[in-house]
Amino acid sequence: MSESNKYDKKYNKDRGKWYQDLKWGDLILYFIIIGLAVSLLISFAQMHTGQAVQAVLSLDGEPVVQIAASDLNNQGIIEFDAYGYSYRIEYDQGRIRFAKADCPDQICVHTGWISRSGELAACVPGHLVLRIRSDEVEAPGPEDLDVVIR
Amino acid sequence: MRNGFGRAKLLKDSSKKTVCPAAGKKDNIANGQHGENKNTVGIKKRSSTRLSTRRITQAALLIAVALVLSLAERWIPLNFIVPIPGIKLGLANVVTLFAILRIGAADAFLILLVRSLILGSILGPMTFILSFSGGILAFMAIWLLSHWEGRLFSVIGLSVAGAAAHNIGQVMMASVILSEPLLLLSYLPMLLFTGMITGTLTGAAALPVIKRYSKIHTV
Repeated sequence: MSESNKYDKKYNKDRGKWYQDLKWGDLILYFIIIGLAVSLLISFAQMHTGQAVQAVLSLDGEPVVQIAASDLNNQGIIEFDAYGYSYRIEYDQGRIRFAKADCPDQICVHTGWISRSGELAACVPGHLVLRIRSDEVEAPGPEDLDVVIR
Repeated sequence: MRNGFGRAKLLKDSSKKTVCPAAGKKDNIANGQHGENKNTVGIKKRSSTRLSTRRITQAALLIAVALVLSLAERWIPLNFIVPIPGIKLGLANVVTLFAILRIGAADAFLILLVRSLILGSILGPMTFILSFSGGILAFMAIWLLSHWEGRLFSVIGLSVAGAAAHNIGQVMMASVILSEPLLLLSYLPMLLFTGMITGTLTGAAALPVIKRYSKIHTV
């Protein structure tokens, strides 16, 4: 009934700095989020201590292309089509990236170069994940695929 | 509805001013007063339909605002300032926050659903899935915490919680689509950190509107 009056009273003093309204529960929220982020970072770092062995491109969780770490040092380009989008993946000097994609959000391209074990670049519209692994996964090499290699 | 009382009172006041002199000329004043009293009861009873018109208008307005914000924030090149893939300001969450606090959870949910559907029809079904999975978790977090709003949490706290929940929901949905659970570990920490900052910013931006809204509403 008198809800509006209650809000009027509560927010009567609408002048002042934005942080004046902060309550102590907010600080707890900040700490929970920082704690969650840090624990995820630590568990991620602990999972991936090994040496980079290969780069794997997966489509819907299934590895489709794998490139050995030694091959990553040579320059190369893979062109790949998935879910109606086409991608160009480049590798050079031990690192790999989505160089070009026509997916709408371009997150995969913005991820940039990845080189260390555990790092990944993903494209949700094309269901593609490019990941540096420290373990072996059976997948066809780039030369077996029906893709353009230079 | 929250402001049903204030509105009915307002109508009563205005009808007093307009109806009374006209009624006083024809009949005696006592009759006019009596008739006017009956009239206000009628307005009060009909106020549900008036409020539903208000609800529809309000919801349509907020859907439009949310759509413009979610389309406009794609043009803000936050990627160049902070080189993290997938970073967003999360401006559309402001609308969810505002709707939950000032209009009601049911309407806020409908606004979220329609916003995601229209956004999906513009930008593709994948956008709908990602936008809705993040939006629904943000909605639930804000709604849950809004019960303690003003006592334990401020609007900024709700905004930060909403941003974090949005990121969690979106990354979880992305990792399900890609069947790559590792995505949670590699993307989420960065997004949580940036979400904390953008959530504070958008919460601070929404604060004046949320504060002043009750005043605009009752006038």
